[in-house]
Amino acid sequence: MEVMRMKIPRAASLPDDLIAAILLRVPYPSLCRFKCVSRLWLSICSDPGIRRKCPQTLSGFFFLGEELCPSGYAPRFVNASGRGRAMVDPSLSFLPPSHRDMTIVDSCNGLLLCCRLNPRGDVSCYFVCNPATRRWIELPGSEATMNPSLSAAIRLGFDPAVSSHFKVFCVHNEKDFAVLDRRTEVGIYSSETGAWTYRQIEWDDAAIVNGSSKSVFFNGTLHLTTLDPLLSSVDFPEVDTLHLTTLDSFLSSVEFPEEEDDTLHLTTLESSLVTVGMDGKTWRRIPTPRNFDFIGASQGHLYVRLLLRISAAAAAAVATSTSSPLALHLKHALRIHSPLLRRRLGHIVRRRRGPLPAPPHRLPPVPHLTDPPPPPPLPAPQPLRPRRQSIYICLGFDPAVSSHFRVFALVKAQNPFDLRDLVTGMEIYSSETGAWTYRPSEWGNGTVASCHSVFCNGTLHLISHGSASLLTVVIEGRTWGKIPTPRDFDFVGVSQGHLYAVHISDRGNDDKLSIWVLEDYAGQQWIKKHAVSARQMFGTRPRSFGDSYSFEVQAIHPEHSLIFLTAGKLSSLMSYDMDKKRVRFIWTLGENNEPAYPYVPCFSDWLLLGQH
Amino acid sequence: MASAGSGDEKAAAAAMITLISSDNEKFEVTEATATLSQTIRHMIEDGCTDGGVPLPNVTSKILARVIEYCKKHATAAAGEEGSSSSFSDAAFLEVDRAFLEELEEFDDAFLEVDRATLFDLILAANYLDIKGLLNLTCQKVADSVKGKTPEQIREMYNIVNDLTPEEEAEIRRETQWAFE
Repeated sequence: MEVMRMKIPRAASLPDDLIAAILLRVPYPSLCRFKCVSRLWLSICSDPGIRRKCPQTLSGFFFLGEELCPSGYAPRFVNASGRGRAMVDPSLSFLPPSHRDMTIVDSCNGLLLCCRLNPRGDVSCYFVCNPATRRWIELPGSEATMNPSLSAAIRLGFDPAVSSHFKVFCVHNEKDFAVLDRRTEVGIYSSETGAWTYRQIEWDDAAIVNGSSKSVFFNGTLHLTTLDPLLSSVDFPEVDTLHLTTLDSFLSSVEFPEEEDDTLHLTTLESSLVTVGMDGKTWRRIPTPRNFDFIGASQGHLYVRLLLRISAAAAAAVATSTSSPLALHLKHALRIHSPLLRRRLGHIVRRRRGPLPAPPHRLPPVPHLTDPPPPPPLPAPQPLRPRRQSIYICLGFDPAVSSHFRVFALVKAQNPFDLRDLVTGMEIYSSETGAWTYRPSEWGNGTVASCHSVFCNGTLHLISHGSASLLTVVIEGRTWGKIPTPRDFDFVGVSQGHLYAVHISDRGNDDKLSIWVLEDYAGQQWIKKHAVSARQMFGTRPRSFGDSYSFEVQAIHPEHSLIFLTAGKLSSLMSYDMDKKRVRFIWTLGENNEPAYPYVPCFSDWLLLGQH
Repeated sequence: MASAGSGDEKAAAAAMITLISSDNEKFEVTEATATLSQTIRHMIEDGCTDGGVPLPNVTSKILARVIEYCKKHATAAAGEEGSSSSFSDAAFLEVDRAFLEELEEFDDAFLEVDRATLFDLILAANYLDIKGLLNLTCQKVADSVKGKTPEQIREMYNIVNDLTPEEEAEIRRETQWAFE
């Protein structure tokens, strides 16, 4: 027996079931190729059992391409490798012509949930197709799928390992438009019965999902992330009496109360994941440590991704979904060298005018404060990532001046022991040339730059703390200047064609804002336009603000006398009308202390490289 | 009560099992290590481990490797149970990550064996029903064959192509996309 075994070729020394155990771990294309190896391998590789078990790896991505088809975007496919002919015919040519005008709504384990659009671009029906088998099926209409305002989220659930039938889940909105954020039931379509069934939602009311909720179908269960609790949990006593279509417009219509008794009640709900089983009978709400901004399944585990707070780190965590509550293990943490995060951190350092506050979590130290000096500057920076150690990165784009944008990255002196950000120069990226150029600073030695700037008149204007001036640099980095200022400003912006600046003085319990305008740019004369104290704005400090106002000016309205501020520990975004002296609450941005980026749609896109 | 409980645990932890390889070599392992094998776990549950567990299909060379794997992973399993993961504790996460990395490194080093040994490990893992080891070793082989052509596979494993040229041409036509 032993002798026999020695002579048999090595592969044959494994029984068929173990060869199968190995082959079900190879990617599908390899499995197909291996049919040619031998008769035995042909039978193993052709076995429907192994084909079902064979982990289909990610082939690529469907997306809606830029090539317009008659009334929309045509689906396209790109291989995950980014190379080669598309493994899947994206035109889905097996669909009848009437179904080619469609958009993809969800994909799940090889199936696509699509919706057919009528000539006006509205949803006329949903269908599910399998590009690999070229099968497709149209779903019967349900009240919610036929009426987009009633369907909050529609998702596909299919797992060939669990069942060869798929489900479509449609989370319904409350039919009463006064309370659009209530979800009452879920319609579940089963390909087995070919019919929709409806189930009352058993998550509690606070679990809000909508079309932007991330989802994954895993272990026969649909997992959905709930909306950001800080956005979804603003709880006002009057909410039931107001008939408003969206929470958005409701919040912006609320006047900030002046009396302590009317303090807004901001309740923060726990972040959670809501799940519903295939049968619509098992409902779970799993509290999660954070709000995840991505959820997926890989290697038999649920993966979620989240951004940790101002930690200069983003983390991906892996969770096994079988345990309850969700037990998470950190799988991978990635330090993001994000200018945004650095900028925020840099800003905090300056705001406190003292040593770096202890971060909320024990996290690796912030790189730019402690890193040893890097090697000498490199001559050829890579596109869109400056090579030198930068303390502040900002964008300059003014379609009225040029259809190219610039990215400015301030470069600081390489002294790890000096917490001040001494500027030595600037790297400027131009979308015209596609390259970074470095210019040494001409602002003089010992210039400290701050983290607020505005780009106007083809010139970047930067706040410089302690120097009572605004630093300027013209678009190409050839002209450097300073505009003297009466105060150290905390914010600069442009409104009505003028440069505006805001100074915030924190005097004990009553912060004071003074708003200045540079009406005569050439004459460099600043005029105090408005001054207001926190007490004048709010009366007593709202309880939700915590211990201090901790104001930050986020933006100034380009046309009106409005400045936008965040205040309080939850970063409540609000507008302040300088003419009417009135505060309006807009939104709670949350404890992350992230800035709000003003966005003015620009329909004249920047030119691509080489275009003129 | 508590002290009695911990005493029992100590007793359980100290329980040793003797494994006997096909070439009659004896290996003494803790129960925690041995029970990574479902086969042995069932034998322990049935109370038939007195006088050692004969494993006639596993040589001492392979059994030693298998025990090495089980020891390492038994510690891992114990570690996971002992520390309930609180996500907010960044320090814990660091430790956990370091441990997982260490385990991964161990597995990588463990798999640095010749093909014959790898196949013997697969057979042993299958016989002893050690899911983690079977998964690890099968994946290693799968990784080494994926992307290969049928010719390379035949050469690697001395497989005789018993398909007729016509049959092979037909299969290649059907699966042409997979060859691109």
